[in-house]
Amino acid sequence: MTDSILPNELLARYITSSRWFRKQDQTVKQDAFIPPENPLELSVTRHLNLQEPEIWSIGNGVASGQNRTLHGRADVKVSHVRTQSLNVVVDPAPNNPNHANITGWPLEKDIRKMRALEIACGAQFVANPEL
Amino acid sequence: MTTITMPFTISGYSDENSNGAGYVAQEREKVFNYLQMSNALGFAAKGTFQQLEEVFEECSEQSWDGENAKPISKEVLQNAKMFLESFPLGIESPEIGSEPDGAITLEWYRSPSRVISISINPGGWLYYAAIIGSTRRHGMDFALFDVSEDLLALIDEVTWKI
Repeated sequence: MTDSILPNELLARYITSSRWFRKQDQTVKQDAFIPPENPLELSVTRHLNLQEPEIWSIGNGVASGQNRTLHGRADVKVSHVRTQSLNVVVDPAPNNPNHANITGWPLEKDIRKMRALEIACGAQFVANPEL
Repeated sequence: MTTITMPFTISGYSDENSNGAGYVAQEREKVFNYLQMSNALGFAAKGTFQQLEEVFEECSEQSWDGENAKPISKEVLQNAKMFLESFPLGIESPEIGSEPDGAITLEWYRSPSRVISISINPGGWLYYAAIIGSTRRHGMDFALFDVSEDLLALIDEVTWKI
């Protein structure tokens, strides 16, 4: 499963909290890349074969489920995630065939934070054009 | 950076039944609270505690991120307040945030290569990670104790103005 995702693919992490990015320089905080527990998996969407409007449409679906605002997305390369000794595995959902999870997170929270901080440094924030 | 440290215990006056020690402790707390309201010195005047309350309001329900985020509990909010109250006066205010595992975060940031993030997690533990140039630091501590000298030194390195 892991092998079917190419290293140069882009992954989108939807930014549903205004506190997950820094307005002053439009960079992403590590907070956005910390996985929830049980299971330790971080939800992302592969750009693969999607046009921009489709990527935003999926994000709007994620945010609207809890009446959140979609502030933007953080794009990060698969190779950058793998550099942190993490995996990207496909996990298609009915409303998002491009859904994937970042897995392989260490059990120690401080090491997870370090990995998330490194991923955030290599991610690019893209603001929601509809805001 | 100038900081003012006001220890909560006063050497030689630790007997809680001592009227003198009680009076000194009360006066100390009054002065500390007064200085917390100072724009230059205190987190209170800089709106840090208000930000904590706002984050709690925003993230106190299950799936607050639109996915499966854990809610921030009152315990985590209280621990974050206590931890921040233990800081010496004069420290730059952190940005407050939240993580999908139910933690409140405190971040000091200058650039992607000068940043420290501290998570206050359920159970009273805090976890931190920092990038300072080519240096990487991470670790854990107990959030119910006063902020450690080690963490203060890391924050100082991040926020130090060239």
